[in-house]
Amino acid sequence: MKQNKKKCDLLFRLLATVTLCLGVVLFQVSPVLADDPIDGSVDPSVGADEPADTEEAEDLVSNFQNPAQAAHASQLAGAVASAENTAVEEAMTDVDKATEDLESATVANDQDAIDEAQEALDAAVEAHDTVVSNLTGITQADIADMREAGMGWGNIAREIGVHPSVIGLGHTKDKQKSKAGFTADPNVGTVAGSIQAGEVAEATARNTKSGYAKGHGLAMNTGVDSQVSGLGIGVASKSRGQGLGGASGLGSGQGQTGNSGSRGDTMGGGNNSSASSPGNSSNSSSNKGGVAAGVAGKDGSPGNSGNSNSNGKENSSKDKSSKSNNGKGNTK
Amino acid sequence: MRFSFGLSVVFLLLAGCAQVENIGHKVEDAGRFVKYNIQGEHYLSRKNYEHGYEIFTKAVKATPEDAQAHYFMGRFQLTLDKKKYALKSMKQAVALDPEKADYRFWLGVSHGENGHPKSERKSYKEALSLKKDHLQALIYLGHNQLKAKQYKTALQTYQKALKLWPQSPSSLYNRALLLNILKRTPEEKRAWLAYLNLYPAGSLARRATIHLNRLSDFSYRNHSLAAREVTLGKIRFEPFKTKLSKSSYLSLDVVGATVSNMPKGTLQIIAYQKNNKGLARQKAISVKKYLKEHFELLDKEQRIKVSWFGVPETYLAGKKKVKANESIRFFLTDLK
Repeated sequence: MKQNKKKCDLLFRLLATVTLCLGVVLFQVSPVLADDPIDGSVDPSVGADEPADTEEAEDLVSNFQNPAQAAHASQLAGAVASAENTAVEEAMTDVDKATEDLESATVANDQDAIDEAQEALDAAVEAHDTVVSNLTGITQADIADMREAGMGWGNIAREIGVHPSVIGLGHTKDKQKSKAGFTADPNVGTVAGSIQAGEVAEATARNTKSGYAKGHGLAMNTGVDSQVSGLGIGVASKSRGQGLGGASGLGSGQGQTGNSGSRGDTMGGGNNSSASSPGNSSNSSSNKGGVAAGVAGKDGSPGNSGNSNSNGKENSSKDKSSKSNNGKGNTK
Repeated sequence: MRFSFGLSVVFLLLAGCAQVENIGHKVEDAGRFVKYNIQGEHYLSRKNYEHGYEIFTKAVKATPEDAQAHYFMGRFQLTLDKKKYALKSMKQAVALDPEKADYRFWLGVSHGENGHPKSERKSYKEALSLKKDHLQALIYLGHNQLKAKQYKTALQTYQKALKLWPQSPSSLYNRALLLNILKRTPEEKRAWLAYLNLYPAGSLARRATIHLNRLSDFSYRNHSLAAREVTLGKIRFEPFKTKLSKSSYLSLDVVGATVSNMPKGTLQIIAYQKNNKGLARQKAISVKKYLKEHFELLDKEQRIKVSWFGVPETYLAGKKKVKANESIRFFLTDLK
């Protein structure tokens, strides 16, 4: 009898321990379950591969409580971002005025006045670049590169994905007309399907300098302005070597190491040569491989023409691209 | 006898002189050819168009019979937007040396710039008859045919160009465009992806992304980061895990760098995962963690916030409403 009582007691204790353990386990799991009102289940992967920052993960609450709230915030942010910005308009007005002053000085052939006006113009352009950089997140160096590549403000705005007014082009209608990007080719009529005439005009634009393409894949890379405190100096300069527009978009050959560098090579290589053959004007017989190899350069050409070696596959692109594509190295 | 011998000697001497003079001319021509070629290419590659124009204005005056002088003159006139003069120069170059495919090609470009599409097409075809693998002529002929609504022919022309240069950006883009027009949808989707995998930035990339999303492919998406619209590759995770896939690093770097370069703004990361809010949460945290580690400033200034929802994301791709079952979205708030 006593033995039976002892057995019952042990069994009871065992059951109590198991119940307690189960309770503890359920208590631990319940927050995750409670977090998912949609189907009450959790993906088997969740928890198996917790992000390392678990301390924060435990405390973290969703900033927006539902998709509608997030959508509303996004809309508001969009409206704020596209609102008129007096700073950029003033900066653009200063650039215009300085340009006019320089033109007047040049006409008057007054060297001192020309030097002074040039200095004022440089300062105005730099001030404008700073404002635009702050608004768009593109490094000043990259904006300067785009301008140096012969792009007008309208083209720059279109390439980096902002409305022309964001960079101050809306402040005078005439200027906007003359600067704002391409105009539709008069030879293009209405196009079928979802394709608009403007898109065809842009996609078939002639490049009268290189004889290749215009505007594909510009504004790339992931440079952080060296002036941003706490971030690595020289990051932006790395990206500059690759092409236009650091911090401004994806680089070419995402996931294809070695491609994007060829963009940066194009200027030095004489890619706008008279050559028909891919890559090289003067060595047309030897460089078919060059064509097949590279992603287009800034001017839309295969990228390495004009070089006497002419096989042009990567040219100097390999080492450059390795810098540009390993995102990590560029950003810290 | 003596007289005839003397006559022969004189004749031979004269013939020799003529030969020497001929050789002299040939050497001079070759020297000039090399000189003009080097000068022309040099100023074009350096973008010193004004100077190049000056040099070749003089060259044309000095050697009006030299085709190459006219050719480079035309090239510089084109760069300086002197279209009518460029057409004259190119015509002259072709007249002096009709066998040069490049001259024919640039004559076509000049015709195009002057609004003569038929003559433009003819010139490209002539260039191609002289040199069938003239890449630029093929691409520009494709452009011309596309604008003339010769869609099937244009597609064939671009395909030829892509055989020569598989990464030709305009051929890749316009191939996709033509497949859209010809309603060859499955091929169109692949064509947009082929373009975006190589050229994922800029104005045409954003257009390509809209086309791709319209076909319910969300491998790329346009995100609004303050005033900018930026194309980003889909943020991917390792299969059945919440660890970021390496292929997403570049997109996140673009986001991080862009926001870091802005003095204001809070980056909002929104994760959507149909029927699994827990997974959405973990994904949002992974993305935040990556950005915090790689863009210290954003972390220091606490400029990243996350939200997560167990529903698909609904948004507009162009004018079409589309649904993505799992996605990561970015935008900026607190801009003022």
